[in-house]
This record gives sequence, structure tokens and C-alpha cells, in this order.
Amino acid sequence: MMSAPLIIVGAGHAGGRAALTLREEGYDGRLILIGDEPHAPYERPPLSKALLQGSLDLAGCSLCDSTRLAELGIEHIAGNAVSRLVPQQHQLQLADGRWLDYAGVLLATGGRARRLPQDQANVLYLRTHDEALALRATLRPGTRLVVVGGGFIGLEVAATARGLGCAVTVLEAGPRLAGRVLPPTISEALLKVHREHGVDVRLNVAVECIHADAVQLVDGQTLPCDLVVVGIGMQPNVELAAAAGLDFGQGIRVDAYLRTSATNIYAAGDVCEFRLGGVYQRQETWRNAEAQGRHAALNLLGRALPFEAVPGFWSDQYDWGLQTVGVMTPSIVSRALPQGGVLLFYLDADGYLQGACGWAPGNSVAKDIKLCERLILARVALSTAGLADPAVSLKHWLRG
Amino acid sequence: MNDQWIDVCAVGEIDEEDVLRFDHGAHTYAVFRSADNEFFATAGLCTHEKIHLADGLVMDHVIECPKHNGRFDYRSGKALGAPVCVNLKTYPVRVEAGRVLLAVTA
Repeated sequence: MMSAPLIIVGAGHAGGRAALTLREEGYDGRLILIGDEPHAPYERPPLSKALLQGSLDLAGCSLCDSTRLAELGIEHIAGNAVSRLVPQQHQLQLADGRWLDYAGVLLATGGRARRLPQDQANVLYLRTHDEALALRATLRPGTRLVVVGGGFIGLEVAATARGLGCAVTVLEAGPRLAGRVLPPTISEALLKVHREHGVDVRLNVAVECIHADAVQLVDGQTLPCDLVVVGIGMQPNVELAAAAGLDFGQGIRVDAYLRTSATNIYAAGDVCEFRLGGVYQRQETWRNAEAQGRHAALNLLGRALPFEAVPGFWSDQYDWGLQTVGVMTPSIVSRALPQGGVLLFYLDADGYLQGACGWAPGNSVAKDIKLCERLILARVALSTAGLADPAVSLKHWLRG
Repeated sequence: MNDQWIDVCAVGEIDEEDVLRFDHGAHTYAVFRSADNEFFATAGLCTHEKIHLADGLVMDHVIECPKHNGRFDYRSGKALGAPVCVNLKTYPVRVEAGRVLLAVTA
């Protein structure tokens, strides 16, 4: 009897990377990749930037196209969600009713844009390629756009829309931009660059309701607009795992090996809730999808490797780039960078580097962030005076 | 098809173990100086998502893309694993009278 296939549920970045890794690592058994989107796996970061702007198409974001999937013998079932998972039987069921046996499963079900209670024609969201195309079709010079949510999706959409000549207002309920994941210094820098580019950014505001031609705020103000983009976070797709009786919190819970509470079922990517520094959390980042997709594939092949990757993310807005690595701590050292950029170092109680966050023109902060990652991993003794001094090369600490 | 040597910069304009972006005509290149003072050149854009590699970090003989951490051996152009799988094109480089020269096919 042929052994049952490995099945990856979710054909986004994490799922796609896992499928490719399984083949690269020599797994030659049956491999099925199931996704509810009609497309082969693609990377999402360009959706709010180059793809929305129109300078990149789906092929440009593709992780691997359908030809490549076929060459690798990866059976891609597109446009078809998994509706039921039965760990006790090692079986799952597709939305079209088909049952499949499995030897192992990776749940890379990702998430969906958190939506307002009511659907409205002038309210758009951005999570998938098709949503990005729908939004792109509406952004024209002079379009009056209100963005609800001053997080990364909202801010990147705002920046792209300004580039396309739209009149943009950003509404943020909190006291600062991207306040959940960024330090105040960087939030301030983001606010400054958006205002310099003519975006009407309003903090501490709440939306009362959205009309066909305006957004009404709780304080009574009315903002006339043609279009509203809501970027208020992601809802992890945990329902399949929850209904199957797997442990979940804000995502599908896994142990250090990315194993869920059910035998031979792993989770990776945006939906995966894992312990980082002892705390259960999820990472909604390109980097995490890439690293966990690959890692879960290795462990599906029996490698039993603990997942220990350093987290990180980036964002591009106008001609500026943000990059982070590691985790934030209360002990911060700040270094000024050329052209008004800034690099923040996060130290632990013993003075070792735990994280860094930089904001600078283009990709110019990338070198320093990469060096910071190596300094975190190497646990090199540093001096706060040296960290604060732009003339001190971070590389010299690695060279000893 | 002859190689045409183009003046890139003075030797001192690229730090040891670092990289410089060099644009010429419609093309962009990454020109490297290794820790042991050898010079190399590759295509300037990452084969993954066309990011300028010159913003990336050079360590030993590896350039790491500034965005997605794709890594290449800049001496051979070899892609060193996901997310990059397509090698970089490489170009001959020589140093003459303190200047770095790059050969592009005319």
C-alpha cells in the first residue's frame, strides 16, 4: 500500500515555502498543497506597495508558479478550502466534499482582514492579491481616500495612494502610529513623513459610521470621501483547528517544534501561536512565514529541530524603510543615522543586544540591522557609548 | 562581442569587505571589495525581487540581500539557498592605476 500523503493546508507564503522545502530536502512521496485562493503561492508584502502602485504583477510576487509546482510534483488544489480535519482518523475533507488521508499535515491557514460588521460597497480591505487589484482599480488622481487604522497596512496603502495622487486621510484610534509594535520614536518619524507627504493623519479618533460618501467621526466631524480602506488587523484562521479539537489561543498553539496538540499536525506562519521569550504570540511577517514554513517542513520529515529563529520585519513608506530584528526591551540606546534616520538598540539587563529597530532612507538601514542580528546571536559584549556613536562600526564587534 | 572596460571608481571608494552600487547605461551592478582586497562584480539586483544588493551586508564572501536575506557568493554569483534560487551574473573586474574597472559585454 502506498503511504498517505503529506498535506499542507494553506497555499500562502508559509505553506508554499514548506512545500518547496519538502522537495528540496528529498521528500519524494505524495505532496498536496491546498488553498482557497485561486493562485499559486505568492508573497504578500508587495500587495500594499509595488502591486498596488501597478509596477509589479502577480508573477512578480510569486513564490513558485503552477508550472514549477507541477515540475516538482506538488499537487496544488486551488480555490478549495479544507472544511474539516479529523486527527483521530488522519483524514481531512475539502469544501467540495472530497476526503483525503494524510500521513502528516501542516496548517498554514494564515488569516483574513478583520472586517467591520457591515459590508459596504465603498469599504475595501487588503489581504489578498485579488483584494489588492480591486483596490488598485479605485485609486486614481484626486480620489478622496480615508484609511481606517494607522498600522502597517493602512500606512503603506496611504503612502502608495499619495504616490498615485489620491487625497488621503488616516484615522488612528490610538495615540500613535503602529503603536502596538513600534517604539514612540519611530511612530513619531512615521507621523512626520506622512504629514510631509500631505496625508491628513488624525490620532485618537474613533469612527461613528461610514456612509456612502463620507466617514463620520464620534466627535461629530464628517469627512467626505470616495473610498474607505479598513486596515484594523488580521483575524487568524483558527476555526478548522479549533473544530478539530486542537489547542488554540490567538492562533493555533504549537510547541518548540511547531507541533500542534494533535499527532503529526504542525502549524506555521501568521496563524501559528508559539512561545517567544516564554510568551505565546503570533508573528504576522514575511520573515516568520519564510522561516516557519521551512522549519515545519524539516520537522514533518522527522528532524525534530526546535524553532529558534530571531523575529523581524520591515515596512516601506515613500522613500523610507523601516527594519526591525529581535525583541524590544525597556533599555534603549539610540544612534543617529545620516539624512535624519535613527537606529534604536534594545539591551537586556546584562547589556547584551536583544533587538534593534531602524528607520532610514531606502534600504540603507539594512546593513546595520543584519549586523544587529549577528550581534544578538553571538551575545557580544557591547558598550552603550559605542552603540550611540555613528562613527563606530557595528562590524568591529563581530570581528573581535 | 568584446568586453568593454568601464571605469567604476577609485579603489578607496569601496571599503574593505563592502559593496558599491554602480549604474551604467540601463544596467546596475554591485561591485565588491573583499576583506583580502580582491574586487568582484555581479549584477546589481537580487534575482528574487529585484532589490539593489548594494544596500545589503557583505560578510566574508557573501552578500545578503537587504530585504529578504537571500544570500549569494559574490565571487561566483552562486545563490546560497531560499528565498533565492537563481544565481547572479558575474562580471570581470580589474584594478589599474588605483582605479576599479568593470568589463561589460559591448
